[in-house]
Amino acid sequence: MTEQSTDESLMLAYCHGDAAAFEQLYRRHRNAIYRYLRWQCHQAAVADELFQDVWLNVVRARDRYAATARFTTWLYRIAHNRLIDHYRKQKGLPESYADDCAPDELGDDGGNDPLQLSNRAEQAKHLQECLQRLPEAQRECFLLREESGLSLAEIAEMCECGRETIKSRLRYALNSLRNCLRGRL
Amino acid sequence: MTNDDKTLQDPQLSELYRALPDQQPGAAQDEAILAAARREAGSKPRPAFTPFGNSWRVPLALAAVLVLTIGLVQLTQQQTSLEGLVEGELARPAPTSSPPPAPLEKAAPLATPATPETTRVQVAPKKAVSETAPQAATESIDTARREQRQHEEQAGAVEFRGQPTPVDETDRQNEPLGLMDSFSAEQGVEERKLLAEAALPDPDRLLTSIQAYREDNTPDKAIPLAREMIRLFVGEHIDEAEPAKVALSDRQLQWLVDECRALRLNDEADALQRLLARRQQ
Repeated sequence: MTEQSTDESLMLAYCHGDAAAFEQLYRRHRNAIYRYLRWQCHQAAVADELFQDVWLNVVRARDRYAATARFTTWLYRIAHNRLIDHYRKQKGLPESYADDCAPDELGDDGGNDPLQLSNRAEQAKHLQECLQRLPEAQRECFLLREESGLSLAEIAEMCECGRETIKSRLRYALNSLRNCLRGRL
Repeated sequence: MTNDDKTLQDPQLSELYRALPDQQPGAAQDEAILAAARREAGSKPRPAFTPFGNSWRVPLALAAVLVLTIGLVQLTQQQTSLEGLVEGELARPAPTSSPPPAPLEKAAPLATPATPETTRVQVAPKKAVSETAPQAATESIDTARREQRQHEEQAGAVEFRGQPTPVDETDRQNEPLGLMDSFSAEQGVEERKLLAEAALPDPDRLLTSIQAYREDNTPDKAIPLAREMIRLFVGEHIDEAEPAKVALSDRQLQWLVDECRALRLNDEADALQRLLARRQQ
């Protein structure tokens, strides 16, 4: 297996017993998956536990992997499901995951373009705070777009909800982040 | 990528997101996950859940095969218990088409040497050999064949003709038609008995088979068997048969008459009845 091998071919190689293929696959996606989980559950210890569970589930479920689906979709679906299980065990599924949930708006739209601000480090710090204030469902859509590169349709399929729902959540997430950053700077 | 995908992208926000401090899993986690992956790679993947579970498939299949095999064996045994006997008897060569050979001591030498076809000793086919006959009987047949051929070569030729020489009634009932006649008196009495036992078409067994087929509503099997029995034990022309030479007891003859009547072989039944009457006169 080379560095240019697709995720799908690596996963199939692992299904046939090639442990090195799995390691390559793991190195490709470990950071993105970890960030996704870390942002969604806030606590490092919990994120570590979920992260390990996700990859062990990948290992255990390898015989059910079909190359017809994108590996990334399959991987993030496992991560998403594990996260939902975690939510349910804690305080129940967050309200923001309800399709008819009214989106929260963060901060005021002051009209200033936050991206014109000169201090990048300060901007990043504020983005971190704004991200933490986003409802879980909206934040998940934003993170999935940033980390996995999945399209709206793929995210909708992965989360088993409508494409319009995902589109709406993402639009609100982006607007909320912009407003939040303007309000803070 | 659709238009929605493009409009819902914010490159500046994405750039800002990339500038966030990186967060990574610990090395211990990496090691634990990779070790588990390597360990699992060496083993076969666990099969997906099935309603009955894979662990039941092999025993279930074996049990099914076993049950089917036992059923088939029992069925085959039941069918062959009668058919084997009847088919074996029917497969015997008819005495008219290939008349039983006369005793060697009575055979007149021919001018021309006999061909292998004409010198072939009439031994019942293997199917006709009783399953309970000892192995020695089969071996005796082979030995008798060889000795018979040697004897024929010395004698020049053997003529097969006519009806078998009358023999003792007890022996007659126990020997295959024409078989015993083909052996010389030099051959041992013991060997003759073994041969008779090995290739014996027991009239009682034949009659039992005919009756069984008739009672089983299979006249297509019973009728040919009855006719074959008449041909073997009485001859082609019943009215011309000599009562003393018929190798059936009165009881067996009467039984055969009754079976023929039951099978609506009235001509044969009447002729056999006349034969029985002639014998009792």
